Amino acid sequence: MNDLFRFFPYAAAIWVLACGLWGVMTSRNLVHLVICLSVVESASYVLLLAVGWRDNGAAPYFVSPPGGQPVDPIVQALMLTDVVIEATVFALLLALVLKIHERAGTLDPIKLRTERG
Amino acid sequence: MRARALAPLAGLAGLALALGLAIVRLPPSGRGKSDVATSLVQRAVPEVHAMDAVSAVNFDYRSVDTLGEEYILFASVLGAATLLRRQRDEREDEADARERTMGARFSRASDAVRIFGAAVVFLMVIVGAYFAANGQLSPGGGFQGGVILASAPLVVFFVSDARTLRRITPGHMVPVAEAVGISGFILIGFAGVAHSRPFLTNVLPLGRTGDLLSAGTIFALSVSVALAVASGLLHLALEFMHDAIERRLAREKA
Repeated sequence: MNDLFRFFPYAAAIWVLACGLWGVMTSRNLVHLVICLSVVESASYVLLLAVGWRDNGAAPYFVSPPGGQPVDPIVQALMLTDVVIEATVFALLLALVLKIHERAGTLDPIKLRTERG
Repeated sequence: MRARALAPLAGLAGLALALGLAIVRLPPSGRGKSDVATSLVQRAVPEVHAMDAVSAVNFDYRSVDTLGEEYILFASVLGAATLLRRQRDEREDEADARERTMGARFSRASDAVRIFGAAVVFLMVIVGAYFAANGQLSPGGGFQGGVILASAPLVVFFVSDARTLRRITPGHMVPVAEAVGISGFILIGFAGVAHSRPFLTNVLPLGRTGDLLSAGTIFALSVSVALAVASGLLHLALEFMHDAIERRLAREKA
């Protein structure tokens, strides 16, 4: 039973992913869509931290090699990468959204499709 | 029509199946074992004198990954800046017309806000520089420090005026700082090659664990990343806010 709880963080990551995906699928506004995409990306933070967590693990920060096992520093480094990439890539996406709004005069993906056709 | 409605459902079902299969193969959270992490935790201090294992990963063991990340950062900033600049050129006349019709006068922020803002900016610069320089000693590093440093000029804009913002972030200096940060990273990488070691090898003296100038190239790489991240994010913000800044400049002059 206890072990089942240990899968909760993964379930939470999937829940966040599902929320974001639902938003992406039903979005009627491109800015909203980009934000939903960032929610999808947030799921990866939860997942990485859950994978790296060790029972009673301290932060991976020490003066000399520790006796116990601290939390996994590699996934934390990956997450750090993830955050920076997200910030800049979403800025690029939002710039594209501005461009689309300027060209098409709308941010609704469904209207965009019908107008082009 | 029906098939089109079913397609996303099939995709979602496939995704759910894949995620379910992936989850049951993951170690229960808290019980994971990673030989790489274990050996890295044991080696970070004796081998590279870095007290923060995350920085040791980012700026030493996997510094090539960080270079790749810098490229993504650079490419996205470049892409966003290009898109926004194009759009701006096309819109310039329209903006000029709007400028003339908008006679709103610029009202200066109150003294209290300005003094508080100055204190906040002071703290941000200190803390950002501290984070960037102490990556090898404490949690933090170039990425966190860079983000804090990038926000400082924006606070200046909000509490002071657009003229001051333009003065502290003159025209081409921001992209130049970006380029210096990234090429600094690459040059430090070639220091390894110059010592007939692989690219981005930690070849600088390691010093004493806990000193500011220790852990070899980690310090230098962290500072160059801070420069690249700070100027990259600032560049993005300035491009996005360009119209607002120009409008306020015009109003300040009036």
